[in-house]
Amino acid sequence: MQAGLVALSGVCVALALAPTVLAEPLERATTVVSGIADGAPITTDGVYLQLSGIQAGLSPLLLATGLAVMMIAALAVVRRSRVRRTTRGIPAWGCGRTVQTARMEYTATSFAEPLQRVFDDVLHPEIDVDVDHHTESRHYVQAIRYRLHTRDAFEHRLYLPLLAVARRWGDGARRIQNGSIHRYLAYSLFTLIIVLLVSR
Amino acid sequence: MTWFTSLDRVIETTPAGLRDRFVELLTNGHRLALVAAHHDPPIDGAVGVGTIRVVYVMVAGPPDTRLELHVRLPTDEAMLPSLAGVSFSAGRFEREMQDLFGIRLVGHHQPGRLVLHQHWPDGWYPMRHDAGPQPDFRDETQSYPFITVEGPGVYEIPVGPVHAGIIEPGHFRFSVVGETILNVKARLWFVHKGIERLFQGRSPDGGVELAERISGDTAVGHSLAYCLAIERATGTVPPPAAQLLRAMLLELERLYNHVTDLGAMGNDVGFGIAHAHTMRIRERLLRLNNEITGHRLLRGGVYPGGARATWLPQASTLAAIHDDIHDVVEFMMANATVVDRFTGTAVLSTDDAAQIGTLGYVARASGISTDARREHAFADLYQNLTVPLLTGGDVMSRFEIRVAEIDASIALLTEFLPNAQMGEHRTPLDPVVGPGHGVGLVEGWRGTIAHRVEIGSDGRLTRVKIVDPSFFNWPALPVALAGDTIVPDFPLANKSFNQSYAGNDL
Amino acid sequence: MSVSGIAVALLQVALTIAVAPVLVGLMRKIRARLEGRIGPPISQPWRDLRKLLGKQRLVSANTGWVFSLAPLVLIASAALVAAIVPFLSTRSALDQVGDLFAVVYLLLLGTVFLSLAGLDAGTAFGGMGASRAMTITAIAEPTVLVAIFALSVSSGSSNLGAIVSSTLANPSTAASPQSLLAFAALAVVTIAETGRLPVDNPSAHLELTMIHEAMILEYSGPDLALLELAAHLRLVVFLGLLANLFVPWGIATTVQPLHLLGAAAAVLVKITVLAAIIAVVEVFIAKLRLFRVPELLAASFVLAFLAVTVSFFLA
Repeated sequence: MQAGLVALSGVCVALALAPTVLAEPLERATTVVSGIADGAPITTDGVYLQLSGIQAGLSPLLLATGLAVMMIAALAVVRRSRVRRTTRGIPAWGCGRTVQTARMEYTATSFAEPLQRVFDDVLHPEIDVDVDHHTESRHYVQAIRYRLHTRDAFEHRLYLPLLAVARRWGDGARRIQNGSIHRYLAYSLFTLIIVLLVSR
Repeated sequence: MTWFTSLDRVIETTPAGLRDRFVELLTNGHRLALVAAHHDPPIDGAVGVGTIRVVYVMVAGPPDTRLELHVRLPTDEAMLPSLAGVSFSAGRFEREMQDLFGIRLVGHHQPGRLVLHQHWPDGWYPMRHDAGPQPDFRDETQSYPFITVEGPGVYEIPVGPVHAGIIEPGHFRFSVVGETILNVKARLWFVHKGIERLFQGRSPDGGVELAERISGDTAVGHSLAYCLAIERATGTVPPPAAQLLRAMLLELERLYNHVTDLGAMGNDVGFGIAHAHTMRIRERLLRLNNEITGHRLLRGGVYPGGARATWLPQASTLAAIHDDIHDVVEFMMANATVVDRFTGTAVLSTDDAAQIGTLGYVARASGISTDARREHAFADLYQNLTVPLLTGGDVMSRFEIRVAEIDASIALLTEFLPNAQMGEHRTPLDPVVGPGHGVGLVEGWRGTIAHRVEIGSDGRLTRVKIVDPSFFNWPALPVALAGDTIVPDFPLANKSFNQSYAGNDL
Repeated sequence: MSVSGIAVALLQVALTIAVAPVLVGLMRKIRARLEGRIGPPISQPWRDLRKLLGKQRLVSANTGWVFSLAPLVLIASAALVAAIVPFLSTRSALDQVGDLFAVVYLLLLGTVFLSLAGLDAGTAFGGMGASRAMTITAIAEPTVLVAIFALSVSSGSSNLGAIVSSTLANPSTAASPQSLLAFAALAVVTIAETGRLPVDNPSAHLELTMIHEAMILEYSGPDLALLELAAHLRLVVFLGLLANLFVPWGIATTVQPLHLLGAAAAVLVKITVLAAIIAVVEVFIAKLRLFRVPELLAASFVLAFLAVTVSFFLA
């Protein structure tokens, strides 16, 4: 799985730095379809890209170079002296507590939770928090369980209804075409009669 | 051993009979104000390790009623039936006694350590009279058993004891999904100083300087509670002029602390200008304090048998401060964002507030009317006292209740001023003729403060038990947070409770 | 790409770096004075940077390469944008290198790297800050795109030099409805992306409420200096972009030194005025509840959308 990710990101980086390699194939593709082509969409000299029709230009290569130059300059400023080149490893900040456990690591669910809260009208997350407490007082908590279930909105609102409609169609069609040759002959006969009636 | 004072009724009971007696008093409208354990050495000449004596102070009022339940336990087999099921706060006092006195609890639902952190060695109880020198701490091998919230994606935020702001140390463990708080546990007692033990062996007059330092912002509240307890134990009656000055100092302390909190709550919603202005008003009040007692935090004003003031403010000054505070409050309440942030945040329901046994403004913002000035007035001064009450239980209610209390305080001060006399007013303590004990109850700015002192036959303090209202109120904070509160609202919620760490940790 | 053009670009970077910390210092000073405090001196941010730069690097043991790279990416992207955006002259050498879209995504690159760095240490605070920053960015980005689109439509170009020149040529377009709407939308996004009130509190250091500060919690010393400077730079770049896109007057159309000097003075005045406005407004507003921020950003999106609609109808 990682190989695929690496390959895909490699392609992305390459395209980002040199999008001009795609300019020509794209141009050929658009000239094939009549009515879309309006001259070359992109003019390029290898470094700069220029959109035709609107005044807009870009040079990804120079942008990347500029970024790299700036980063090197910043690094040079920061690591001027010997003291600043040394690095000391320290434990992550734990507010004065030295013991940090894996429980304190941030989680993916949590990362997405604020956005999920913002769009809860669309996503309709189902959240359950069960609190077990002692029978004598609810302030003695014994266990807490949290459960979150988010149903895919597209799957439930679009795909499943579409599939259901398609299935109903299919069921109807199956009833009409059940493989009986007599039934097909009857359909032909009725069609013929209707055609004759209409054309008369 | 006999106790000569008859001010507080003492009921001797047995471990077996404790629960029934306790429940009976609770249903009669009494409230648990304090639980103190004592490790009495064997009486002259006798051999053995002495006995453990547990004192439950039950109070009700008005009229001011105080009862004490005494239970004696053998030191080697100190087994105490737990009252945690009938009183949440009793359960916390029990855990405190378990850590400090080695009393074993029978039937407690959460009998874990409370005061002593995990690095304290097992089996060494610092409050026993024969505890001896403190042994070496061990490494924090096992951490505190926080409840693990089960479920995918739940993580824990450890906050503190070192914080980004200048606040006292406390560790908060949040179990969170994203921004939703599922559970919070406050782990306190990072500033446990053993201050109760430091009182032991001091003279009653010498204890007041310690009492002033129990919680820096409650110098008057704690020193007054201490002095009242001493006066009850020794049968001393301070002059009325001293009582009046004490009442004034108490309100001045409430004033400067409440003003600070108003602005600090504004600061926690990014409304720095309110903070800047309340800090200005606070500074003005602190300078007044400095003129009045010679100390900006009002130390030195209250002592056993009396009180003093070297200067008194004008009524017009108080009126000007009142208007100044209301200008800032109006300015804050005119800001829609501030109102929105305060409203509905960290709601503590009346039911929860009652079950936990909250005190002070936390209780009064959640619909529970409690005020020691009314229930346990130390002098006949509070006929015109108004006790504000709100039922919202949210940050806004805790903000508004403070504003109302500021008004009430200034009204009291204005009423007291014409009769107040500068100078020292003191009744010297009677020489102690035998052992004695007494309870002092004071409505400090955070709520009812309770002190119980015992004086030995040599006139020295043998035991001082201190209860800051924070001890009752701290468990309410996690309860108010669980539910709808989001993580970034925690500092605001915490500020609205503003409990003392030092007063709780002792 | 002429030598003088490159010189202008470098001059812009140098000017931005020199001005940014002072500007932040000025904003803090204004706020302090309005609150009745004296406040730290205006040069305090520069002093902080110098102090931080003199320290040893401390790196949390469980971080990876992203943690070390992020400060460099953040400062480099901010500096590169400072070079591209026409602060001084419309004849910048880099005008054809990156258009408005490139500028916006360079700034976004910094935001993304900052969030990755926040996640890298694996601690609760960093992840919390990253999650909040990404939530806000995800809702703010559509606004930016649509607002840029509105600007491009009315001037027929997405290149910054062309947009500025077109406004200079037709001054009335600066007060056109689409321009004003787009300005309002971008102003809201600027507030959100630079972490100002009411979205984030730049003066708060409470672990649990902050966004930007939570992400950089693990940084110290020189790395922190870079991040702080980058944050200052981004503020100036955003303000400069707002100022020159909508009120371009004063900008040089040549590369003559005297004209550039005048342009520098003009852009400094514009940025200072904007910064002062922000500082003054911040005194009187409080921080929104976290989940009210999307409502604010949604409003800005509506403004941007209206800008596009209007620009098509009035075109």
